[in-house]
Amino acid sequence: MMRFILSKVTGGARLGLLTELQSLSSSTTIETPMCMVYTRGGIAPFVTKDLLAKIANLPKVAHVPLNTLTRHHETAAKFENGLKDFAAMHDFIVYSCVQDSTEQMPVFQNDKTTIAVWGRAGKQKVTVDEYMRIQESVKPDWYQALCDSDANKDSSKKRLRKGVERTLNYLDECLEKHNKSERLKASALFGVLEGGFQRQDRVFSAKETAKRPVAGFCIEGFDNFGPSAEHFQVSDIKHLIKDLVMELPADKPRMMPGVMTPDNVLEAVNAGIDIFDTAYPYFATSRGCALVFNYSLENESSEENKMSIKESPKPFQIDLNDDRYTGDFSPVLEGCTCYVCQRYTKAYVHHLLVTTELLASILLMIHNFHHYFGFFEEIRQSLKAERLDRLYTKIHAQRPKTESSVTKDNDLG
Amino acid sequence: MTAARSALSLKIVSECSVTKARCCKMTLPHHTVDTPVFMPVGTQGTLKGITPEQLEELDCQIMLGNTYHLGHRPGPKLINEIGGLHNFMQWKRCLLTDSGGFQMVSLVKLSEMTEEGVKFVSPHDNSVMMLTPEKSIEIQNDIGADIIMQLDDVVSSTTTGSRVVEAMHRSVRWLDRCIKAHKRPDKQNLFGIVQGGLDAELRTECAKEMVKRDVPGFAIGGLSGGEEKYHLWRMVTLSTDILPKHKPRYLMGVGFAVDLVVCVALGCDMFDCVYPTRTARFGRALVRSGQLQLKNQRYVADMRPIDADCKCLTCRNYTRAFLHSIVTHESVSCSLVSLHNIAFQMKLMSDIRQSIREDRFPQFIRDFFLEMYPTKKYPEWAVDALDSVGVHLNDEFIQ
Repeated sequence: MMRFILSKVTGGARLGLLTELQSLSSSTTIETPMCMVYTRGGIAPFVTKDLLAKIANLPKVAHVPLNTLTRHHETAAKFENGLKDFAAMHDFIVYSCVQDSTEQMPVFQNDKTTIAVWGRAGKQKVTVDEYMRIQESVKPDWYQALCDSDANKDSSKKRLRKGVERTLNYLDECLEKHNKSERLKASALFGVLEGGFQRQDRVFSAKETAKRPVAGFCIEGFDNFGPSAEHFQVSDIKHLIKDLVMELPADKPRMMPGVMTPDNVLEAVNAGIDIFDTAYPYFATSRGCALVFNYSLENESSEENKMSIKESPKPFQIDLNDDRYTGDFSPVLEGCTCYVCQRYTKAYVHHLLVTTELLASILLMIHNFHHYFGFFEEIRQSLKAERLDRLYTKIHAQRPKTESSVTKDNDLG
Repeated sequence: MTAARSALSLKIVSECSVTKARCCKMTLPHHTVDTPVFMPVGTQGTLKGITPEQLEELDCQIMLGNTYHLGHRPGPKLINEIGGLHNFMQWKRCLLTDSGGFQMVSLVKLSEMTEEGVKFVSPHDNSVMMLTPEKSIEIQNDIGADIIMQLDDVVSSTTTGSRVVEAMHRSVRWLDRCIKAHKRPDKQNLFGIVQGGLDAELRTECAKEMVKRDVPGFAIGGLSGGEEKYHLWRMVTLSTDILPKHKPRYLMGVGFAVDLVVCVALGCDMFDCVYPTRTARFGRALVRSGQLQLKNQRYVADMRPIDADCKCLTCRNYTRAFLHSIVTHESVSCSLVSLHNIAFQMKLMSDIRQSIREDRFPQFIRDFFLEMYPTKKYPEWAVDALDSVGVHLNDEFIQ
């Protein structure tokens, strides 16, 4: 069973180590803060595994949301190692969860006994029995307890309270079934913390979940995922997170899905979050954008890159659909060491986008994964070298200057 | 002064002692190609869903680009500026571009053939444009492929009468204009295209006229439309009989496994077709016994790879059941099935070549057909075509 070793805490930020990952070779450990590789149907989006393996700092954890697994579990059950065998993900830790942070979760779809999951076949109502049957087939290394995360800024107190209560009940039921399950005995079960933006509910949810024998915590229910998650600002709730992590034991990992931009990631790291997903690079790829924010504390961004980021309507990325790149023979990101930037020009990726060629998404996903994984590596290195504040300042300086961000810039976590 | 350096040399490595099949080494500016060869089609400067390095790993030696598409986007000037299509798409091996004429006729509704060229209304900005032989070569010179094609007067293979006669003669005249317009004969090889519809006399005349022009290779055109296979093989074998042995013969637009095996026996060296990659995007995987429609419910729990003997990434890692679960839903499945289908085509051609080198191609043909048609219900045209070159599929006693 997975173990979490906390190696260093700076302010609220934690440097940690996930060990005893039984499905990887015994010497393999995973350093946190880290992000997982997003998968759809048990396979990384766009990128075949030979290309995926070439990406530097590739995290060995595959993030498998339930909605993309339509009927997989029926087949995965036939394998001793579940989905890992079925989807040929042998060298990955599999994390299975309820909702997909890249997809908008419609509101008010959950009821007393079922959680709505939106997959290929539309809405599926999942009971706790069904959920645990699916997890037995999937046989993940880690998984989430069934949870009611339908919450956002506008949710009523009643809705939030319901979400917290149901999620705690689901956790108890999942734990009971988990403990009886032969197939899940090596899997780690994470409890889910709910409560929206209500401090009282959040603290209650954290306190109660921490009393249960869970392997880690998953903090969600701030927005309904999908594109709405892009407007979610961790800085708005950093005090709330600080309060609730006070209730959590230090020796268990904390995960927060749907945290997007690098400034938000750093806010969350500063608040004590260890594990993230890769919804952000996936979103950027789906739109034809390349991540170009500069996280290197050694190299200054070229003037040209600074300019294109500043002019980009989205922060931290450039939109390669833009006709300005038609004749641009420079790499996607100057100085980047990824497979794509070593070979291709912006002009080529732009051409692939305007001709709607599949290779556009493949190349952008490779670059965007590489860039995001590299950013997390820099976070870990910065934590070790006690220079996270410098990284924070550097990332914040690249935010587009809107009124709200000006005030936030002075407010270091 | 030495003569202009030739950009193509063809060395015949082995010849089948029964059929007209041969194995050659065709040396081009970017790579030496083993023939008979199948050339996958990368229409817009990319083979859909596959990186050039993956193609190299599959031992693909030459691929196609389409002049009509590339001429429009990103445009010949931009490609020239970045140092050719090879550089733009990062493909180190050989490229072949077509003339753009075929797409003009098949994709553009309003097009008109005149002696000057193909007049057409641009589907992009509705302006009236003209693709002349000179313009086609100019664009292809900018793209910079190892092999470029003459602009020909394309008529549907089912058209008959005076239009076919006109088209054939015009294609010969246009070849002369292309030769004259070609600015990089030392770097790029211009191929003529034998036309003449399904008329044996016209084909013969066209082939004979083409052969008089000293171009590095010849294509057999106008046969990938809706014509019956009955006509196809007769036109092919007639053409290869006239075309010189020391130059490559390229049968345009043909790529089904059965057609490849038969037309290699009839003496063709090069083939291209969008089929293996297009069919992959619809979830169909090629196997020697035909194809698997992976969407089909029957594969939901099929734990075998597409082909247990295939060494491609897809077959090494995934079951039919897993592919069934993502096919047509996750775009990465297009890449996975395309990788397999290209690997299938490459393996087929490499098996063909090896059997020719070992002079057992006739036996290869018999084994291949038996695997594809276990009940021996062989298509009549294939039986006839193979009979004509001494391989008798239905004769039990001759082995």
